[in-house]
Amino acid sequence: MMAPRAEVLQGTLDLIVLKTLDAIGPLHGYGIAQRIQQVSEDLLKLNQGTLYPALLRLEQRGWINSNWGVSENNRKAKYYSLTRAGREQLTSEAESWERMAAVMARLLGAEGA
Amino acid sequence: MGGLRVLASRLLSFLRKPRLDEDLDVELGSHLQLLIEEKVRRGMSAEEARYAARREFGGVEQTREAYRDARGLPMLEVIVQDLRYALRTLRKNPGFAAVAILTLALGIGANTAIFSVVNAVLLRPLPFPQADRIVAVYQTSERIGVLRNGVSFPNFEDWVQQNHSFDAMGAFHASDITMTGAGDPEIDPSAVVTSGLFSVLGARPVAGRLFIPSDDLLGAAPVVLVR
Repeated sequence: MMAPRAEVLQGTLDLIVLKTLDAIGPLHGYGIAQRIQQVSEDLLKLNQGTLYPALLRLEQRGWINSNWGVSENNRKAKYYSLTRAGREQLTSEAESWERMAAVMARLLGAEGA
Repeated sequence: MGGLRVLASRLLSFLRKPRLDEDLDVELGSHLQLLIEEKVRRGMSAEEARYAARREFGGVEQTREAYRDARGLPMLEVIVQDLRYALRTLRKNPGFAAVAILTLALGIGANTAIFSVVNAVLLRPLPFPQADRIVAVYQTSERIGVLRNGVSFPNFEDWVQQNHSFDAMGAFHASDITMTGAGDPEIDPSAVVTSGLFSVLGARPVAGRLFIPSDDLLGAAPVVLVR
């Protein structure tokens, strides 16, 4: 039986996108969506359209930038890449996420014991 | 500053809106196309692939809306839209537009006129130093119900002699005079005044001298001040 697919947690999409660009390098929106689904092994339910406002937000903050390029099927596509500020943001956000996750794990573990 | 940076980006986007709308359509179009081709490669029919791609992508129109809200200045965009709509409507109803414009013009005109008077009479102080300490003193006759009457000159002289309240006192009697002798006659404002008036008003002569107490005496040579 298949596990139910989880919604993308509020506020985590930015971190996911930053990490994806850090791991793979410049990608277009479709590529980012595919990668997220691949890595999450389809456990994550992502409305791919919601990626675009997130990409815009990240670009406005200067964490990523974009350039027009040509996709693998020869269509005009926008490629996003991580900036230096974006890499720093990724580091600090990943740390705070791990802290949060550790706290949650401890809390949930304690309740079970 | 993150906030400032975002605001600058939004402002730029607001100014380049049509171009950016086009860009977004191209970008979303490419995404959908890639998604469809992927599904066709996996064996779906073109029809099925298109349908599945749309479902996986979510609402294209919602995405576009959310993107625009985060990109430009949605408040300003709405205001601009409203203004355009208002102008279009006015152009379609010239009669109504004329009445509306006339109403506004009259309203603004009337308010401006009233404010000019209020400003001059009530708000702006008199153009004299320490204008808030200048007062007008009248003779009253309560018996016959006259509260603001002029004063006779002898009475005024008594006031000045017995005055403990004012730094200076002056009397005047204003009446227009007719000037003749050079060209067309004309009516000019004038007043007979005592020398104390200039101390009250703190006036200084541009040339010559102001009246002095000896000018007030009976039999003094007549003196005139022209402005």
